[in-house]
Amino acid sequence: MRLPAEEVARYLGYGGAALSDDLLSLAQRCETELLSACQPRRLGRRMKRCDMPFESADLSHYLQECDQVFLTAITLGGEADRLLRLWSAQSMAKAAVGQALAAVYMDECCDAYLLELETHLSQGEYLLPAYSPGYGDFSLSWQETLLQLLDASRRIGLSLTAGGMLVPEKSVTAVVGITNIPTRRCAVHCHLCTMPTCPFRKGS
Amino acid sequence: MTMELVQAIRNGRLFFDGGMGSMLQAAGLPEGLLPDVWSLERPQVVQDIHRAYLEAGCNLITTNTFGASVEKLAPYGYTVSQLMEAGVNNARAAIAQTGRDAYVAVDLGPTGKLLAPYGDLDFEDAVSRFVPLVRGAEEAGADCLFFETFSDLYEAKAAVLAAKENSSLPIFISLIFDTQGKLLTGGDPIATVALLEGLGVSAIGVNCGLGPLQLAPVLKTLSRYTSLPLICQPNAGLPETQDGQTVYRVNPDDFALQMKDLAPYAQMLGGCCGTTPEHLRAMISACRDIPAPEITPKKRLLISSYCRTVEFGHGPVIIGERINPTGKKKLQAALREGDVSYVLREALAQEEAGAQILDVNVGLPDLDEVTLLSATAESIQSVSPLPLQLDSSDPIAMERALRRYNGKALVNSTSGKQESLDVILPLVKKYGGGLVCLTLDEDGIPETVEGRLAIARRITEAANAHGIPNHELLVDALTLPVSAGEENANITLETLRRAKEELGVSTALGVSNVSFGLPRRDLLNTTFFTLAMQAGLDGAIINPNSADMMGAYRSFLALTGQDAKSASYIETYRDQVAAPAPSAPASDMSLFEAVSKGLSEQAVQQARNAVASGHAVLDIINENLVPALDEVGRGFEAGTLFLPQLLMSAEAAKAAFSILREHLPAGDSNDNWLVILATVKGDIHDIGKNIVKVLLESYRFRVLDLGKDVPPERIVEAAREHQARLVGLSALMTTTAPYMKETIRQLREANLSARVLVGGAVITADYAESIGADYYAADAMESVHIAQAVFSAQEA
Repeated sequence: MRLPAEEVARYLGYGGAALSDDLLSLAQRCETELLSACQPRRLGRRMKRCDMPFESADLSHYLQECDQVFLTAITLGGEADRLLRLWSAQSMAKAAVGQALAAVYMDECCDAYLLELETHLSQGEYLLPAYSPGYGDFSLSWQETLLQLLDASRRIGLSLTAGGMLVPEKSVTAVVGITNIPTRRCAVHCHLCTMPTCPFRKGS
Repeated sequence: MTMELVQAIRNGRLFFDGGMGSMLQAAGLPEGLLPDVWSLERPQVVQDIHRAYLEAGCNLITTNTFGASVEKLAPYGYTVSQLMEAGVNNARAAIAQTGRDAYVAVDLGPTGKLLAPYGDLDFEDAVSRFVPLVRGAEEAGADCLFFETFSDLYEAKAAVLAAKENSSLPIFISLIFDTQGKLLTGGDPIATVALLEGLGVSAIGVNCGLGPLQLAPVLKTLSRYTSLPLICQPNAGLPETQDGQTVYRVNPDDFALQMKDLAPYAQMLGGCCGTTPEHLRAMISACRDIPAPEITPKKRLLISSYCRTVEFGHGPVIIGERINPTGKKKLQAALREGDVSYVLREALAQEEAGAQILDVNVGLPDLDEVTLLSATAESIQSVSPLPLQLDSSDPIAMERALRRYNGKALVNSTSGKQESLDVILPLVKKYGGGLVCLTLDEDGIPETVEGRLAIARRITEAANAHGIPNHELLVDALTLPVSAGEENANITLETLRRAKEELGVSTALGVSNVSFGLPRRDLLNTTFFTLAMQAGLDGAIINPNSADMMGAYRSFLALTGQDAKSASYIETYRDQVAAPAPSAPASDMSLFEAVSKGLSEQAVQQARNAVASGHAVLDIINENLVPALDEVGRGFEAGTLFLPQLLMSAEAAKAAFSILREHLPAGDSNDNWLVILATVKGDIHDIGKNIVKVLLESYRFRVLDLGKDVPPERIVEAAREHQARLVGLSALMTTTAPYMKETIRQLREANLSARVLVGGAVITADYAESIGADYYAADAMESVHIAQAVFSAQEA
């Protein structure tokens, strides 16, 4: 498999255990279908922190040493959603594995995009880990504004349902702080999260 | 004025204007302000821009109304009518000021929302969003409507329908493709042509996204397939980011050179983002004398889905016939019970077997076909890229399904009966579609070739009178059993051959009727199928799951030079030296083991064996299935096995149970073990709910799955109708959990005795208690325990 099987297992609630052989081959089949069908798209926009309209104490705290940020949006696209629907019709076991696989792929796309954004930094600038609406008190209600600032609906077909959910479903939006302090380099996400009992927390 | 425009684009070139947004920004448009507002508040600026383009030589001016919608204008206190009037007036004023001749197109953009199933905007809601825009445009005196930068064919269909039903203006529509030549939702230029020409627009094209060089392949493909005038409006190159701004690097001279190469393919040229009056001036100067391409009718029969197109005329096309309830008890049961997954699995199986189009027929006397045909087609389209053949004799059901279909469908069918023609032909004219024409009429099915051809001829004439050309028709010469008349096969084949030759139509046929009443139907069917293909059959309505029929098809292609180097044939059959091996020998794994290990095939086999050896079905269930599930469930709770294994076991148990169910003595069924499940309103995540459903079903509960984004009222109604004892609600997000509370409130208010179980990623035991739920399930297995407790308590 191209994507890390242990990450797929982690998303399936396996803790540290490994997928059995038959599930591993199921995951491989899902991976083949997913990778050939998906066309991930992403958007980034650099802006001054003072031009950012979001009001959130936790976001401000996260950005305390930053003057600039990237606003980002990444989506696996509608075909990933279609495959999830298809797998749900075929078998819920496949759907559960496929869902986990899509989450791992999403992570990979996000990480890859952060690496790409790093190439747009000047000398002496570093990226903070991504901080998404929904983290801390950075309310989900800011999602719409974030998408508008990126013109995401027109440029990558990412929008919100009437209920405020991102569509396509496998999508992530985030603010990525740009700092001049090298010790706060891009790191894993879990340490920022306020849910210590999350079964997917790395290192648990 | 408008007829003149349609004439003008058929006879020569027109030049659209260039980018408006960047010009407004250069004039100081503040970020975050809807650009359309300046049509009303800074008309002078807008007129200046129009004038600049007119003086550059543009003669088709687009109004500054691209972002308009009732919703987006409301915060500024303007109506759509006001905007449209201002938009058109500004353009006309600029035209008057320059003293030049030019047309005014009202520019309309997409809604910015995704239509279901990708998003949550219903198709008819999308249509209604465009209605006020279209009406406003016509009232304001536009010469045409110009829908541009659409990235989804379904939304394009909604916009075009709104326009057709609410105005008489010519409709131009242009879409945005990516670097792979695809639309956002997977469509390509060919699917674009199929859908939009079927809807009868006046011109189609491509704009934005790419520069002229990158756009060329899309334009050329459009040009090969379309019979309409083409529009081409690229950006001034690909967007780049400089100092946080988006810039386009292609300068006017280079733009003009690049557009020269595209000019032979499109009648209407212009520019999009990053282009300025200088770009347009240079382009017009370079392209003005290049002759506009001739508009030649292509006469291709294209049938499409949202992304895939099947072109007839290049050999037989396999149309899978399995989704038809006649004689299929399991499918009938699935349709009656709303078991969408069953229907989808049938569709997917046919797709895997090689079907290129799927027939969809859900006609059962006790079902609401009007809702069901459309709903079924939409469900299939939500998972499969195959185009569909809508199959119904109920014209209202057909209209609804055809209207909501994403693409250009095959319509099965019309006959020669006047009442059929009168109803079906206008539908096909309005929505587009390939039309299957049955050679029967009020007097029945003619017994002679001449008789059937006469009906075919009559149908083509009626179709032509409605503006439907012969190449959109597929004549079905009808198959009668040879057992009822030995010339029957000949008559069909000869009719097929001559219809194609003499009428310029395509042909369709269902073959299995030919063998009715005779032994070894498979032999007759495959041979007749081959004869029909040889006679020129285009649309073959067969069972693709039949290895024999697909064998005949693949052999035919290989033998008639339609399979280069027999590559496809070899690919399919390379591992079979002779006839396929008989099915695998029985294993000696017990039913218990098969379920524990999650092996569905073995579980089914063992269930059959157990029934055959005379065991009581309830004993089989209680001594094998349930203990196996219980053991797996305990393993899951102990953390020795995990969710996918739990689900595989559940599915194996379900599969075994579907065998056993048929042998249950009457009265032992558990029809009253009914659980209603729903994901609450506003929430579209349903994997958790679906997992609970599978587990409950494996334990023999009946589940009524109301789906996702379900309003409280619907849940209450279902609970009341079915006297449900247990209702399970799921919500994934903090923003939608409040709907759980509301649903519970309404259930209690309606005085229903149903107990409520809640679960979902953000739901906690505390939250469950605070909203009045009876039970909280932290994971899927707990739901099963709770359901068992609820039902056994109530039975005690």
